Amino acid sequence: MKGEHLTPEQWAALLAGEGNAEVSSHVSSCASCRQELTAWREGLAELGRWEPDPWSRTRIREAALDRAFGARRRVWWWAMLPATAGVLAALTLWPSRPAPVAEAELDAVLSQVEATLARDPLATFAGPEVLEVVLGELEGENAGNAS
Amino acid sequence: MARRVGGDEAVKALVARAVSGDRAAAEAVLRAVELPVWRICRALLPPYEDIEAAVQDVLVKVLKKLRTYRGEGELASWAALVAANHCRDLLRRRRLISFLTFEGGDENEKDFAAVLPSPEPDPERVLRARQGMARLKKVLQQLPARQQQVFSLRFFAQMPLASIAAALDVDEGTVKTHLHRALARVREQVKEAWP
Repeated sequence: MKGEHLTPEQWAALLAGEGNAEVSSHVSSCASCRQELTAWREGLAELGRWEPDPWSRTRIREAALDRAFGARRRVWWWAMLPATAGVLAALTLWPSRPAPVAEAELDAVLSQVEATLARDPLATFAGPEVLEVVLGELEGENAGNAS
Repeated sequence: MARRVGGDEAVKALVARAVSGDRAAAEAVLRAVELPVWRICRALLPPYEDIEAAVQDVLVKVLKKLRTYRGEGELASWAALVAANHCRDLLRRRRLISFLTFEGGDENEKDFAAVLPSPEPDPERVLRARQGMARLKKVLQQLPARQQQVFSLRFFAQMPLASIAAALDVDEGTVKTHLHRALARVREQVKEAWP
């Protein structure tokens, strides 16, 4: 701000879009006021340009509709992807060896998992790590039995 | 300002369908009005307020009050006014109108950083401009309710003065008076930090 060339009332009118000829004349000949006016106009215009991200817009709109109309049953197909992938993986990787052997190994893994969780219930949060350890132990035992 | 939903008759028909329980029509109504609602909530509520919750509350209010919309002004303007009133009531209830401290200033400064017209990266100038824009938002929250409403409807919802007058049910001269006072106050408070 370089000084008060226009009165506060004139500035307010100018920013409201109502400058008169006298004000316009001053602004066009005064670099300082012109610079300030440009900055203010850009700043004020920017206030009306902001937009939330599309995902938030959709989420909040859907939530409002659910509250107003009651939630409807919606199939979140993307939420089911991990489960679907898991089933497919299980079907693909399911051993084609004789069932008794596979079941025995599965029982062994499950009992190891249960034993681990019994010792440390928090281990369940480790998820894959737990299984990796247990399976590793199982493999070691199997190798020992085989030798 | 907001997504257009067609002419007056089309808007009225859409509103009628939404009021009668047509969810797709209600969704179209929300799409048409949600942007000014977001902007006003973001402008009028302090940064530690849950903006998304406020927007959601306003959108629910819009749907519930839709039967009172008489089609005399733009639908988005009407919804913007619902948002402004909601924010005012929210702040009243939480006694947060007095926003004199500078807590949360950094966040405001970040919000407004993109506004800065700064061709040359002069750190001092940038800093002062950021402080100025951060102060703008704080000053706005200290304005009398009517000035705050008019300012936010004009600059955040980008409503013409005539629409604001119609939405507030006052004449355009009254709107101008409030806007002038708001701008004078805002400029006075912000100019110290302006580059």
